[in-house]
Amino acid sequence: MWVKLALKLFSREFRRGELTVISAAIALAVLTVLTLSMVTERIGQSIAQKSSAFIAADRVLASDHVLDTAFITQAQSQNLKTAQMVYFDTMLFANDEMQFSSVKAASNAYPLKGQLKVKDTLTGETKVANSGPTPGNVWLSESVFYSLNIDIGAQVELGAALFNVSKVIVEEPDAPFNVFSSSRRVLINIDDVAKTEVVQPGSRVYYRQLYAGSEADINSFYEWLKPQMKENQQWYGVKDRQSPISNSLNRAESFLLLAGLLGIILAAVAIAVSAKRYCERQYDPVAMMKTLGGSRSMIRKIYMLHLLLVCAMAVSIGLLIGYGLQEIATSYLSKSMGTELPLGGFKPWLVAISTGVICAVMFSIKPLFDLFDIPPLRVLRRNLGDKLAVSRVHLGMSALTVFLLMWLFSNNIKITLILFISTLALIGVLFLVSKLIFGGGRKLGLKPGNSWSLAIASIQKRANVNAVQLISFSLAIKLLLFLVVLKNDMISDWQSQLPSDAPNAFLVNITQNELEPINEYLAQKDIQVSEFYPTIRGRVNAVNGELVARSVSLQDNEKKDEEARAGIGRELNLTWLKDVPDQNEVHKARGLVKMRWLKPQ
Amino acid sequence: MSALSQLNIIQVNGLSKVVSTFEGELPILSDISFNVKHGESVAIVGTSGSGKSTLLSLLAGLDTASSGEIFLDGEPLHNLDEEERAALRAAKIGFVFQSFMLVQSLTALENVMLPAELAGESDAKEQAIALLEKVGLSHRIDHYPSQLSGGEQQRVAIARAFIGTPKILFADEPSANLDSKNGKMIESLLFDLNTQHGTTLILVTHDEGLAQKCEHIIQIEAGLLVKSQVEDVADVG
Repeated sequence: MWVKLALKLFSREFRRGELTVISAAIALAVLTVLTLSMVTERIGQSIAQKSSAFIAADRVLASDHVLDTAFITQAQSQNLKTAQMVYFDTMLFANDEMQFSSVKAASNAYPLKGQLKVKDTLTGETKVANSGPTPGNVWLSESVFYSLNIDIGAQVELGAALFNVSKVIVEEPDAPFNVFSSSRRVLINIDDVAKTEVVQPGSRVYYRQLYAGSEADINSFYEWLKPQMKENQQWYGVKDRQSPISNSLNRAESFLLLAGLLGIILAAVAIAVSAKRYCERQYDPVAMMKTLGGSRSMIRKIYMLHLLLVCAMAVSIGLLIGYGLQEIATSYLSKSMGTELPLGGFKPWLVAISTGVICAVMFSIKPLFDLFDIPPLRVLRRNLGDKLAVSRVHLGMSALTVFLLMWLFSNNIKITLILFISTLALIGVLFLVSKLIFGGGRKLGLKPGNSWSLAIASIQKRANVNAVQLISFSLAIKLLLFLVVLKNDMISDWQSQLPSDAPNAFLVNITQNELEPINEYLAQKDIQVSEFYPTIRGRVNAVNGELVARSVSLQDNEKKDEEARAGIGRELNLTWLKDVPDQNEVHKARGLVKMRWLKPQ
Repeated sequence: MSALSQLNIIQVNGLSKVVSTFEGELPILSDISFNVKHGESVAIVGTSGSGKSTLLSLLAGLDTASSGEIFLDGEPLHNLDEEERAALRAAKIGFVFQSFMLVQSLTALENVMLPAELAGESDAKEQAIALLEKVGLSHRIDHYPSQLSGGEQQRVAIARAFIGTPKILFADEPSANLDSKNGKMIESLLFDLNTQHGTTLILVTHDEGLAQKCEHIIQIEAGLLVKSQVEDVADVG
């Protein structure tokens, strides 16, 4: 019987406002959390997958010396998948044509991560290859076919060995980013390296061992490997190869996270205020029901059912809208990123549902308990229960809930603490200001009957409620302004990463005789272009006879790429020009180089 | 149970109510005793703040006494806990208040049905419709309190008070918030229904005219029972 009465009261109360506001606030919290969590998780997963694919493995051991195969045996015994590769540059011959190419010789397990995409013919469909070429076969990138004027089935000469051209390479997972790298790619089986006789003492050859598996297994293997690593060996994973895009996405994720946290705070305030108002409006009906014989347990069941219904409805609506919004966002992002985003796991759903339930329960449970305590005597003494003011326990509980929600969502204690403490400080200041404003009216000395006097008296009568409203609105405005400032700051930060005249595209590997027609073509199309300049691979060993090379330790090798590459002595792309180009600006010079133009020796 | 208690639906012995204030303990009612028989109508009169509403709240089990005994239809109200008092009210008591006290989100019909629904009665709707017909509001059963006049709201409250055929009806200033015409109509309706249902009526009022319509009058002043026309009064404080 009580269920029927509870449902009847619920349907009527829902139309009256406060329950709608509570539901909307819970739904807002849920959809905010679900949308942002799902979008960031799907992007994160996509980046992680792509990043692993960039090195075709989870970790790589690299060296310019032969790597011990005992490492591979040990890794396999520790449940890791392994592959081996050898890189070298050499000439490829066919039909009296020759082409300087980058050769990659890979074992059958390559690639461990990412996809190797090939075509059976130059005009054929792209498909995924499960492993590289079998011994005796060679796969070439499309440009090599044109350079050598060959087709599938042709024979090419690589060192002392002959190979059958069997496939066209479309995409390699670990293809280099560097625009100066050769686009003439050649893939052979690692077992064919010996018969080419290309690798000789003094040859420039790079060796790679690829490893993939669980983080725990990889870490365990690295613990075993680390003491045995030599100075010429480098161990790296995807995280050590962070790109500027990845860094920008991390910042965007932080911004979305902050926006989500602010959304939760606003929703929490809305739920707390509405729940209190709703419960206060129920004081008379509850007192009347108790007077008419309604037991305390029945009253409790009626209003707990209301809470359950609000919670279930709001969470469902929040999940539905949130899922729709993240689908729109991810489909837009998929198009922008040119890739399908993975589906994402159950964690965002769990976090969103938890947020909704916690918001619904924690911010309304104390007003509900106050409601259950309303005495039936209120039917005769109408002010009974009005003194059930906001308790310190309720305030403390609400603050703790907001903090836990922020922490649960952000998983970042630093951001949570900064935002939480700054919000508390703002509330404190606003509370003092509201007390001054609403209390100050008493000292104005306005005569009774004056309209201003009546207005001020009315404000003072509801001073606490007005203070809560003032704080809520101020908080909302502060949080919105905070987001606007952050957004502008972030965008200007992104913009500052690239100068306004940064090129849209680069042209590389242009021969001297191609320069004139290309320049004519670009002028014809009115495309702005910088001066073409030559590049060559080389090392800076000395400046005016003063040696600059230094040895790089194993510890240096473990540092980030940016730091490791700062050392002179490694191979660089070098160029030479008579004058500093117009678009170049000298900001800072350091060390021995001090912006002197070096003479080739 | 004695013959006296079987005859008396309300027995009050040495009833006192004291409240704590910043200045100390403040007596609201002191040593009140009287009996009321089945079917009688009793007016409790007194000036504002005399304690008449407190007495009503104690008699109806809405509040607890500091000392003394109350027997309601033989039940020792002073020994019952909150839930038991609620059950007793559901079974035996009807209420009419000065401010109507209708649930704003329920229609006239649903308000009248409410006590019967809380008591788990299955024929609540039929009873409520019949009562609304008796108070002349059968055409307004689907209206919400905000759509009814003050007089109509009080008629709904009276219909609600009689649902489940209570043995005792407590009415607190039932016509105080109404104009003279509506007030008279409500008073007349209340006494008519009381007679029809054989209910015992305890009426709190400061209206001398209304009090005179009751069979007995109890006058309270400063928490003391100063004058009683109730028969079989055991003690006058």
